[in-house]
Amino acid sequence: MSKKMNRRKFLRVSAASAGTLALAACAPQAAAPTTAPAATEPPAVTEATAAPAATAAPVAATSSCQMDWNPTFPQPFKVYDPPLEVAVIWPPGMTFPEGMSWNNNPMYNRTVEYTGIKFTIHWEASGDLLEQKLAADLAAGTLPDVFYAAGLFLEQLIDNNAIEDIKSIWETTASPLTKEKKMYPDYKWWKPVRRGDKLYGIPYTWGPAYNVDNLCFVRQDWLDKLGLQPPETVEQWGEVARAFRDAGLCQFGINACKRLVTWYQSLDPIFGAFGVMPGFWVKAEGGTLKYDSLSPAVKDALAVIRQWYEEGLLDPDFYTYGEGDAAGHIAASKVGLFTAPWWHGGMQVKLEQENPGMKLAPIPYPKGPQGKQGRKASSEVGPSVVFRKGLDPLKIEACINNLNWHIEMHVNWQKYQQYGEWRNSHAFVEGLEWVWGENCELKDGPLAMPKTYEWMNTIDFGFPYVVYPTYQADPFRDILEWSKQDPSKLNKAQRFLLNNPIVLREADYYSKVFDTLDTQIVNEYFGNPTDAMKQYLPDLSSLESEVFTNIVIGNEPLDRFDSFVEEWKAKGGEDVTRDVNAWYKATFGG
Amino acid sequence: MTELIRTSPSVLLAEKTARATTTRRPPFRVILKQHWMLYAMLLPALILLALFHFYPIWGVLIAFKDYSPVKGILDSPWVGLDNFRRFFESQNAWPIIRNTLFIAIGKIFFVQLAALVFALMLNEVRIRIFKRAIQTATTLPHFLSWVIIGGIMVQILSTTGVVNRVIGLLGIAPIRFLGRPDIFPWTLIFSEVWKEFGFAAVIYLAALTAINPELYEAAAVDGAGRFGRLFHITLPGIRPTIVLMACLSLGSVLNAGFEQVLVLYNPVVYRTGDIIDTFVFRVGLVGQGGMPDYGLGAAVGLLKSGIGFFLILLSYWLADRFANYRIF
Amino acid sequence: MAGKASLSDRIVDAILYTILLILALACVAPFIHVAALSLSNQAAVAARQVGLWPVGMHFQNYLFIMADRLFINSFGISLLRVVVGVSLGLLVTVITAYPLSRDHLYMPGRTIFKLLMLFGMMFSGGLIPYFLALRDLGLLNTFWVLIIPLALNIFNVILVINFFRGIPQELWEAAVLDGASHLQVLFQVFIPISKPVLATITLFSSVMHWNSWFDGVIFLKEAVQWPLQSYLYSKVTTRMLQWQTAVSAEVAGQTFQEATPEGLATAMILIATIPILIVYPLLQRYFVTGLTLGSIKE
Repeated sequence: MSKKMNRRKFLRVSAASAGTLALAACAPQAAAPTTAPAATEPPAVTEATAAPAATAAPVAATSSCQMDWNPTFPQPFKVYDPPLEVAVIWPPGMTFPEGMSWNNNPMYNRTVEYTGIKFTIHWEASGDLLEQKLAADLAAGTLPDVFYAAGLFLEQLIDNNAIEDIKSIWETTASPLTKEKKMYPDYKWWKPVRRGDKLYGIPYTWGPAYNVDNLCFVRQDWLDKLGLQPPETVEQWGEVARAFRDAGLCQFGINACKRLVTWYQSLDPIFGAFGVMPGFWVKAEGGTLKYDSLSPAVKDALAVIRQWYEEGLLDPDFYTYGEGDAAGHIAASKVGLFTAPWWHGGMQVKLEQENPGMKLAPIPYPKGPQGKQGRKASSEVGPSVVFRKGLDPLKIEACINNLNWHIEMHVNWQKYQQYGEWRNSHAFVEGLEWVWGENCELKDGPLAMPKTYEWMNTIDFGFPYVVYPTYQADPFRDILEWSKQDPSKLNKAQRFLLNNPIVLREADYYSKVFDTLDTQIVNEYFGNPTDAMKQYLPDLSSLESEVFTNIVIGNEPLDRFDSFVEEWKAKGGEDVTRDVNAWYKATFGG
Repeated sequence: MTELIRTSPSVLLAEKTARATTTRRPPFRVILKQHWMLYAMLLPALILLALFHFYPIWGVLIAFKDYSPVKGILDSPWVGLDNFRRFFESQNAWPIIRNTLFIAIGKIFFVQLAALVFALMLNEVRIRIFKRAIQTATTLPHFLSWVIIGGIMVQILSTTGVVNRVIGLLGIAPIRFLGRPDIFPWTLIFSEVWKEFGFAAVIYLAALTAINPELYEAAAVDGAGRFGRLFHITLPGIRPTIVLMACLSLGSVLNAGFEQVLVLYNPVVYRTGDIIDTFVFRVGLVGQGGMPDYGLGAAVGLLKSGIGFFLILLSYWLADRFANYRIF
Repeated sequence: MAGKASLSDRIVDAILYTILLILALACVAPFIHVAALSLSNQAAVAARQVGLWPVGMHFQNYLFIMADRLFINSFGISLLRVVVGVSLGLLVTVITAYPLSRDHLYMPGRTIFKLLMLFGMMFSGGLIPYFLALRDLGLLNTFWVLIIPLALNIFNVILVINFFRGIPQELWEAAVLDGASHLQVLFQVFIPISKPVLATITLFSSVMHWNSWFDGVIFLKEAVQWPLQSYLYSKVTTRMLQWQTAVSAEVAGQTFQEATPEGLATAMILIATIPILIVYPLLQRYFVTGLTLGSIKE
């Protein structure tokens, strides 16, 4: 009895996914209920013919609604038959709807279909456990087929011949579009994987403003209430914060956390306004790099922050909070000025819904006394995807073709995904991510997008990260374009996305980040730690944050900064600077 | 009273462990006949020790190597004592060792003391429901990991937190428990005491149950008061357990509690809050790509084990020599 | 006797009970706070409005964790692990402790054995050689990797040795003179009167097995093989990681609709603690009820 119930439920789900499958495969088969069970079996992958045909949709539902867009996928670059198995690391704890599993879901099936790869579970882990498992795997000689590595680990893998040189396969297999978008071979993120004539991996290409470039925000509702203009200078930040606090609108005014310069609730705008960025290596005269924490302007920035702390414009306990804890002060209306990356837009929509009256607005980075502005730039050089020694070259080729396919779909999305490929390539499955609502418009389906996100991430082992620098900026720009058009000129999928206030807000913020790349202060050092760094940097970094924070909270006088500079140099800082400059010269010539 | 104690089984617990009072061997014939079984009983433990403790022990070699997981332990180059040298030559080595010892010993002492006092207090409670409820309640914090409780603790101890509000009632100005280098180590010690005393008391409670109730009745007849019973029956009864716990905890004098420090400390208190483990952790952070400094970690680990092992043996010897206790 | 407590006794009692009550409250309050956090909505948690009672109560964090077959699966594995692991552990512990507690028997090599145990307790070769050892023994990716390596806990052995030493010598002698073998003495004479110490190590060992997560994650390949704590740990850290490194708008925007990383973490802690709260009172009576040695003595 209950078995029957389950079966019925199961059929309902699988019918939906079968519909997608048919869509994905663009198979011209008749859409009959008999195709439903196909969802439970590995899909027929031999059909490499991806003839564009959008007529398979009616299977999806009894609904009379029609799709007014025409989703297809790029032609496969090459389909491997039988499919090649590639063992990768999976994030743990993936969950799937009934009737689906890790190797039977729309994303997995699409990958098999279009790229001829079956990604299998080598093991499941994430975070620092992942590194420990990799280290154990290395010792036991049981590495995954494909994984990612960075920094010293990558360097040692290369030095010890533990990963494949993919140079010739890459040269012949990577499409011209892939090479162009990933800025092969000269951009700086290729440096860690290139050794002379050899190429040891495919770098993540995060682009110039990944997800941790901050924006500044203000409580617009409070500004309106007090009839104030948005602050434009550091001085005005103090004035606005003071006004907010004195009017009893908030407890403190400006948000901060235990790391002064960080990815969230950061004070990097204040340092930037004085033209410096603590913790960064920046260009100095004579083609050298210098450590910016030592620049005299840091003292000026510290003086401002110290003054604010003394006045009570910062939380008296700010130095005990992590980034996330400090973010709670926004919801609690303890602060009116703060920084956050573009993705905070989604949370702001929620905050405004949950706190009637609250209105948050982005403001430009504040200017300093000399009119400077400066934002802490996200790092552009990250990990690289590498292939274990002894892996079948055919599998390496297949992975690169997989990448080609993704990049083709992303860049030329108008040709394939008319619903607006604004996020990473997700399946946009009817019945899962969206369903038909009133007036034949789309509405949210039972399966929220994070699920698809997770699948995609798993199935392509992070390949979506490996796309290209503007892969987030481009779709966000498109969305902003649509939002200015007459909605009736858009298709239903586009309207569905525009109906989501989070999407619009995030698109707006991201384009603001991208439009102000000229205010970025970039950390020029992305090499591996040298011997001097290993010996001295742990002590020097803690000395720096200890001194700076103690200056801010008044435990130390402001002039402690001067002795800090001397101390930093004397305690090994000179050696570190010498190493960094040697690296800089070797890497960028001189 | 004294006679009572001498003949009481619970006191035999103390006496029989002392070498001096080991008396009267059973006939030699009995030992010989049953000897093989004693050895056979040790066999499972011997096998487990060999397989899971001694077979992988060669990993300590990492402490003397410039270890790279890519090269493997045996093929990584020898560097002699370089990893140890790197630790001791770090600018902060001595402050870090001092902090570690202070915090760790403070924790050992106050946790065990609180657990003991708590167990003795609970022992005085005669309402069984109350006793059980209190005991269960005080065990709870043990199950909350520092990662979870850390954020809450930071709030509780902030200048506007619960603790400061309570002492504010007494007219004391707010104290920066987490923002004053001189106070921070004590904050660590007492938050650890709060978290662990209930669970640590379990061993003492178990030991207390082994005391013969007849002794208390006899003492009551003798007219001994509450404190008389405490000092003449209860404490001597659990003395071996106290010595045992003190001795074993010496093995961890260099473990000041990595997770706790990590979630509670901040740049303001680096000077007094930085311990060996957070130092090793920070050194690992310098290596991009998340690769920890295995060599340094192993060297420090070996140092900690060695010192702990030595101290346990020393305390064993001292207890045996001067107090006539055999601990294990 | 209870009726005629003196005034000073009553005052001492009153002070005692008050102190104990305050201690218990200080221990329970944060726990209740964590429970309230796991049931409160995101905004209230972020705004620190949650005290001892949930604000905007919802069960999404719990539903999120429970609505998943892997959760049930891993719960079962954890229970099995505790039952098998603790039983084997107890057996190994008492068998090992017995010969080591018979100090008066001449047994060459015993001191060396104890030193080896202590050495094994204090020194470790680190993760990688351990991993290789488990591989060589064929334990990797099997359930037994959670059981066998942990069967010998030296700390527990030491506790039991000490308890066995405290058992009156006459009892042992009487049994031996009656012709009982060592195993018979252990199981028929010692074990029945060692309940407090056995309850103690059962508690320690259960908590240890129940809370271990690292071995599951590292030595078992797939999440379907993992015990509860491994599964929850990786689930929560994966989500936290996604959120903290802000890899995606979807994660940042959408997880907050339903379950929050902090909410999940708190819910996880509570779910993971409940079984211990059930088992603990069962073992507790051995700590609370005094042992009557008189009956043994006869």
